[in-house]
Amino acid sequence: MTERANTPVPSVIVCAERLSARIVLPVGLDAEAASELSLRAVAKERGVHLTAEAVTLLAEIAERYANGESPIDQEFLRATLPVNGVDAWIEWMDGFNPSEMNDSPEADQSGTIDYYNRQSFIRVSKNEPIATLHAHTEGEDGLDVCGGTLTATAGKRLGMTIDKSLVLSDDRQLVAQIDGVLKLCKGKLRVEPVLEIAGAVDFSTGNIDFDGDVMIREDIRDHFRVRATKDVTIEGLIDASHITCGGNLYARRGVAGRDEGTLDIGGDAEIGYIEQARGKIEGSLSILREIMHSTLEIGKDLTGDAGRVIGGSLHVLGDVRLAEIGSRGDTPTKLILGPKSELTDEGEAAANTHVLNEIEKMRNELRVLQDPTTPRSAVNAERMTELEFEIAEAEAELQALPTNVETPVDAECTSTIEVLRMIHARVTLEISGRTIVFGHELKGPVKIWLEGDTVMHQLGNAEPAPLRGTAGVQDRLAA
Amino acid sequence: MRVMLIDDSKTIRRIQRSILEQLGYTEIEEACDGQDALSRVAAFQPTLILLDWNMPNMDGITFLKAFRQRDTTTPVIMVTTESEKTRVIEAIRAGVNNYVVKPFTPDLLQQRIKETLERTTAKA
Repeated sequence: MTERANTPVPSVIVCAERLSARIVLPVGLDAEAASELSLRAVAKERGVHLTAEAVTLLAEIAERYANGESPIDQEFLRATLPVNGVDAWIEWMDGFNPSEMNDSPEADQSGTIDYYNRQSFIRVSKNEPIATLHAHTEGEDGLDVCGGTLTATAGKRLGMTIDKSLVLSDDRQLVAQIDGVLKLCKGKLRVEPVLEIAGAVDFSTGNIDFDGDVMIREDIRDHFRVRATKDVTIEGLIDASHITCGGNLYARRGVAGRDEGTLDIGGDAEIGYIEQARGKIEGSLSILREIMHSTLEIGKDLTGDAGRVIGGSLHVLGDVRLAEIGSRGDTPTKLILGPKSELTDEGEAAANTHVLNEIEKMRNELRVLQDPTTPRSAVNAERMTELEFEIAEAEAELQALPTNVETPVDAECTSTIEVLRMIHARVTLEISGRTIVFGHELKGPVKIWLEGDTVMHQLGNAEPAPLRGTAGVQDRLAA
Repeated sequence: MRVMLIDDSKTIRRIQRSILEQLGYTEIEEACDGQDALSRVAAFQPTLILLDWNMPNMDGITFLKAFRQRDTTTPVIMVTTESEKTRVIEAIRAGVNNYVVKPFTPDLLQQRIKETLERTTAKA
């Protein structure tokens, strides 16, 4: 028993994870024990799954041992490792990767950077491919040295869902189904038909130029531009900025134009208030509160049961229904009704209104300084002198400007004005070649319209009567 | 007609210049205080002076006293916020020919200038 135990024998060692197997041939093996057949038998006995390569290697080892090389300790078999699957991935077309969007504006040749024109969103057009979608793969299983399976890990499916606004084409391209903005939010990729700005339009967004609807949750800051081919909705305030839209404008808070803000609206507008703005609304304007010191052209009706027009000049092609026109402070306010005279120059009218507004502002400031409660300092005296001078200069400028008073208008005006509460002094109405200036206030409800050559009015349910002679009205007929 | 405007306020000088230009006076010299005016008045030889009272370096009344030692005929209009009677009398004693209290309107200043020049011409 002792002799047999000491007889050297070949052995096969399989590593713990069955990823490799090696053979050990000690010194002193007899030829039979070190033969290829013997080695294969030992390996099989150890549970090793012999591949053709392993058999060849064992034959070589046996031959080397027969040729006197000993001892030998050599790996003769390795497991076939599994090939894991690849995760699905998206290969974005240039400029469409929402997570790598570069919204930093570049400097021009002079080194100037226009931060107003940065873009913080990705626009896509209908039928535009935005990415190629690469599907995940399952992978390939491996084999350990004993013939057992080493299972491959399958690739992950795409970690986002694709909205129906995008479809996968036969060549696995993601194609937009609508015009809009590409958004990746909470793992969902979609094209939104509305560009939504969650905050304000400012240096973080740059100017907005969008083919579709635009929704802005906060303000539009000074000097920024918003252009949309469809509707624009602004939940915040419109500062001295520029709005252009092909559809409707909804701005229930208002417009604080500070003489710089402009509106160019293709449809209707519903606005809280408008202050010191100018522009054009092709459709109707519904005003919730005031229009102050603004120059606007309105293609259809101007309505607002609580609306007031104070200062400025409005040209309305349709009907007007407002609570008040003018102010208790007798602010000069002009309302031009009906089709525009061919001879009336818009620029002149705008300039006229601008000068009137400036004079009014200066008068207001002067009134404050002249108030007995205001301290009479040298600075105030100087400012008052300056205001007196500038008012005189502006009035001279106004005299020099051509007015529309004597401008004939050929087209007949069918518009009506309905004022529910008051028309104040220094309100000017231009209707079909007539310039009607109110010398005193006229309490409403009152309706004014043109009947033949006569401007008529009706107070409440009273009989209609010519407006001339009422409320100090001067009816200056065109020559 | 050569007019010298003496006022530390550039705005007031601009307004005065504009009013004078409307009246047809184009030879106008500006000084920002009494000292500045004294250094230029001999060379410019104004035929009318519009003078502020309160200015840095040298005030209007000091300038006037110095100026009147060498020139007693050139008309001087004091244009100032000083409106108290005692101050007006002080200015008249020092030799002003007319007095305009700030704030003033362009019309008022024009009127005072015309008045002053008419009086001066009549005296001559």
